[in-house]
Amino acid sequence: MRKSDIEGRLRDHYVRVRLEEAPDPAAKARAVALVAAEAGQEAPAASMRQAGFARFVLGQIRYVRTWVWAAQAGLLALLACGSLLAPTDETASACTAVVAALTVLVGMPDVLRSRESNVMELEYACRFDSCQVLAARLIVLGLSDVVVLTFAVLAVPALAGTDPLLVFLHACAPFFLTAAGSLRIATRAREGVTARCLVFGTLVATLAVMAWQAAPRLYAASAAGLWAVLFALALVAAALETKAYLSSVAAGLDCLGAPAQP
Amino acid sequence: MELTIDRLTKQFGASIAVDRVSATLRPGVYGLLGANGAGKTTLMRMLCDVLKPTSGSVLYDGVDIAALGADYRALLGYLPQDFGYYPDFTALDFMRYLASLKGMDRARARRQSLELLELVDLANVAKHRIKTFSGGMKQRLGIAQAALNDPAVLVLDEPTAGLDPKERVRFRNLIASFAQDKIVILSTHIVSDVEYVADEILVMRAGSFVLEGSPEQVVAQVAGKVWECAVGPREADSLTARCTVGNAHYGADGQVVLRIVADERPHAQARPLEPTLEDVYLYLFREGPAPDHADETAQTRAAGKGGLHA
Repeated sequence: MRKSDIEGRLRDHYVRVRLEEAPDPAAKARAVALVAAEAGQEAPAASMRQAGFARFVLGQIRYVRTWVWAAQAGLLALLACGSLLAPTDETASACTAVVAALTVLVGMPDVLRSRESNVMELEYACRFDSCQVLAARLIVLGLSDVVVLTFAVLAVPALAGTDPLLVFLHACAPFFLTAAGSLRIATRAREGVTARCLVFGTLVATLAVMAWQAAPRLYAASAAGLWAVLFALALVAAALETKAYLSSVAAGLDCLGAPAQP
Repeated sequence: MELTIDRLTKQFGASIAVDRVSATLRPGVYGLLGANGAGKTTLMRMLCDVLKPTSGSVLYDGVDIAALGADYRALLGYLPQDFGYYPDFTALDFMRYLASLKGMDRARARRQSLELLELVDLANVAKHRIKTFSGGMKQRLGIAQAALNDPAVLVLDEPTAGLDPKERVRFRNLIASFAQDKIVILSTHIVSDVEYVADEILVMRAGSFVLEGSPEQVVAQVAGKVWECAVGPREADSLTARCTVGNAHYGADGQVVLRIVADERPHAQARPLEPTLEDVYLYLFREGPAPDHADETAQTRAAGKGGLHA
C-alpha cells in the first residue's frame, strides 16, 4: 500500500468519525426549538446575569479550603480565650488587634490562589472570568471576616468588660491596614505574592503586640481618637487597594504581570 | 458561525509578537503551525480574550469579542500551553470548579465531568488529587475541561505536549468527533498532530501567517523542493552542514540516506520526493532569511481556502 493511500484512508477515517458523531439534524432542530421556547419565557438578560453572579458567589463557598474555615474558627476561639484570660482591658484589646490582622492572613492564600497556582489564564477564558472569581472570593472571605469582627465587637466586651467602640476600633484598624497592604502587594508584586502578604500581616500583628508591650496606654480609651484616625485611613486605603487590584486583574493577563510574553 | 481575525497585533514593548494577522474561521479544524516564538500562543490568548490586542479585533459573527465579553467566553473552550491547576483538587473537583466558572448548573456539571473524564481515560482516577497525576494525565485533564461546556470555539494550545503516541491518536479521534459544527484551533509545532485531522493549516512565522490553506495546498508549496540521496558519511556531513535535512538514516550498505529540503537539487544523485507537511515546516523554518511567501499566501487564498463547513 502506498503512503498516499494510507494518508487518504487516515483523512477519510477522521472525516467519518466526525460525521458519525454528528447529532441527528431533526433531533437537533427539535432541541433548538425547545431551548428557544424556554429562553422566551425567561427573565430579562440583566437580572439573569445578576442572579448568575450571586449564584456563582454562593457556589464558590465550597471551593474555599477547609483549613481556612478551621483557622477562622481557631481565631474565634483564641479571641474568646484571650478575652477571658486577659488580666487588663489593654491586653484584651491587643489580643483583638492581633486576631483581626491574622484574620486577613488566613484568607489571603485563597484570595490569591488562582495566581499562585497559575490557573488565572484558564479562568480568564471562562464565562465568570478571573476578575469575577477574585470578586467572589473577596465577598465570601470578606463576609466570614465580618463574622469574626462582629464576634470580636460582641464577645470581647462581654467577656473582658471592655468598651465595644474601642474593641471595634482595635479590631478594624489592623484588619483594614493588613487588607490594604496585602492587596497593594498583590497589585505590585510579580512573584511570591502570598509569602509577602503573610510577612506583611505578621508585621502588623507584631507591631500590635509591640505597641501593647511598649506602651499599653495606646490601647486605653484616651487613645481612641488615634485609633479612629488609623481606622478611617486604613478603611479608605483598603477600599482603594481593592479597587486597584480588581482593576489590574480585569485588565488582562499581561497587565497583571503574569508571564504573557511569547 | 464565523470567527474573524481582523489585523490583529500584539506588541510587548519594542517586540511585535503578532503582526497584523487576519483570517476568517468557519466550523472546522484549523492547525496553527509554527516554531517556538512564532506568536502562536499570543494569538490564541487574544482569540480567547485573555490578552487585549494592541490593535485590531476579533469578531464573532460580526461582533467584537471584547464587546460580547462573558457571552463569547461562554461559547469558548480553552486549553492554555502552560496548563495550571489546583494541586489539592481532585480531577472531578477541578472539572466541577471549572464548570461553575463556565456557568453550568451542578447536575449538568457533574454529568459532563464524569463523561469527559471517561472519554480521556481518567474516570478511574477522578477522585485522586491532581498533584499525583503524571504529565500526560494532567494534559488529558486539560483537554477534558476545555470541552466541558460543549464550546462552539475550541482553542487548544500545544494540546499533545506530554502525551504518548497512543494518547495522541486518541486525541486526534477526539478532535475529529468534536469538530462537527465547531471552530477548533490547534496550535502545535508537531506536524503529525494536525496533518490528517485539520481542514486548514495556518503557518505562522515571526508573528504573521506565511502560509494558509488546506494541507494539500500548503504541501504543494514545497513541491519540487524535497529530495532524497544516498551518500557516504563524509559527504552526508557536508550536506547536513549546508542543507536542511529532514531525516538521515544509515542504509545496509553503509551509505547515509538523506531527506533534504532545498530549492535546488542538492546533489547530482538526489531524486525528488513527494513533500509532506513536515517538509513545509522545515522549509519555512530553516535557518536563513525567510522566503517571501506573500505571493504564495495570496495564491493559496485565491484557491479557495477556508473552513470546509461554511
